[in-house]
Amino acid sequence: MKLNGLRGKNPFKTPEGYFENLPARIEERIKSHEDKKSVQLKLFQSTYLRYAAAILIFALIGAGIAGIWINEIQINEKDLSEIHLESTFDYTGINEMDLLYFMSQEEQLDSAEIFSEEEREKIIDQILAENRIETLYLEQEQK
Amino acid sequence: MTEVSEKEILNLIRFKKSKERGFNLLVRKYQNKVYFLIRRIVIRHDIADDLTQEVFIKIWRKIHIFKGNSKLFTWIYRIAVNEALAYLKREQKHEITELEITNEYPGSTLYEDPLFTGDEIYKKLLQAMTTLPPQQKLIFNMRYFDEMKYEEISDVLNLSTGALKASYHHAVKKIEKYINPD
Repeated sequence: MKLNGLRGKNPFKTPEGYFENLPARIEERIKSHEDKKSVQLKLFQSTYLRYAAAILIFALIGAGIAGIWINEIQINEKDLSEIHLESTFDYTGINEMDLLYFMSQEEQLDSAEIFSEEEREKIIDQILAENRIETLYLEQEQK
Repeated sequence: MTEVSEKEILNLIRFKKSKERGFNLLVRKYQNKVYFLIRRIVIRHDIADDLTQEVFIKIWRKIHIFKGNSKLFTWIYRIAVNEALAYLKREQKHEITELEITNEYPGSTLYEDPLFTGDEIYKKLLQAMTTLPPQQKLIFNMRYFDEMKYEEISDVLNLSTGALKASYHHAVKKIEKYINPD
């Protein structure tokens, strides 16, 4: 079979009145789409909404800046907390005893937990030696 | 009613006051060609109807950028071809799974279509067309059914006439082989 016999012929038909109604159906679809668009546009053009949008934008920008700032602070704190104590000693040449010298007695007791038992006793002895009143009080208690 | 020219339509569309009237005339002038170009590709009326509407909605939205460098008909046809090609690409993915499941040719829906008036040979021809790659199918459609000149197809698809002739020749050979396998 050769194809020439069917050339230019149309084997399809449309429902009755299809082409008569098609322009109106297309225009209807265009109109409904444009109505939706104009409602969206009108909503955005309303004064209250414009003010609300402006406030929202400023709030978002503000929140963004605040977020960056807080994040930076947290990062700095985190960085410091992650520095190992020993590496600080190596770097600065300060040892534990030098550090204790700069600490108040309460702080020394509080921080005692981070030291070994032996170091802890050493610290308590030092405190007792420096505080004669405390020692006297303890001696009286023992009596 | 005398046929309104492209120039008259464009003159009406140019002005806001007469744009709707001009567009209505444009739809009436080209709806048949656009619809049947798409229908022969997608076969089903409901899909062709939807795509035809989409084509004219796009024309309404984009008519202001038409500068008249080509014929209005060529420009409209190009939009229709793009719409049909986009559909074919979407459909191609879908057809693969459908073929795997039902083992049916997409053209088999013709057997249940009351809006198809062609005979058995015609059905076979349309089924054969479904085996062509999308662009080759369009070229065959425009040349064979719309009897467009290669120069006109070249304007629409932006392809050389040499390439179009070769593509059409291959399409004819494939279809003939499909219809007469021996």
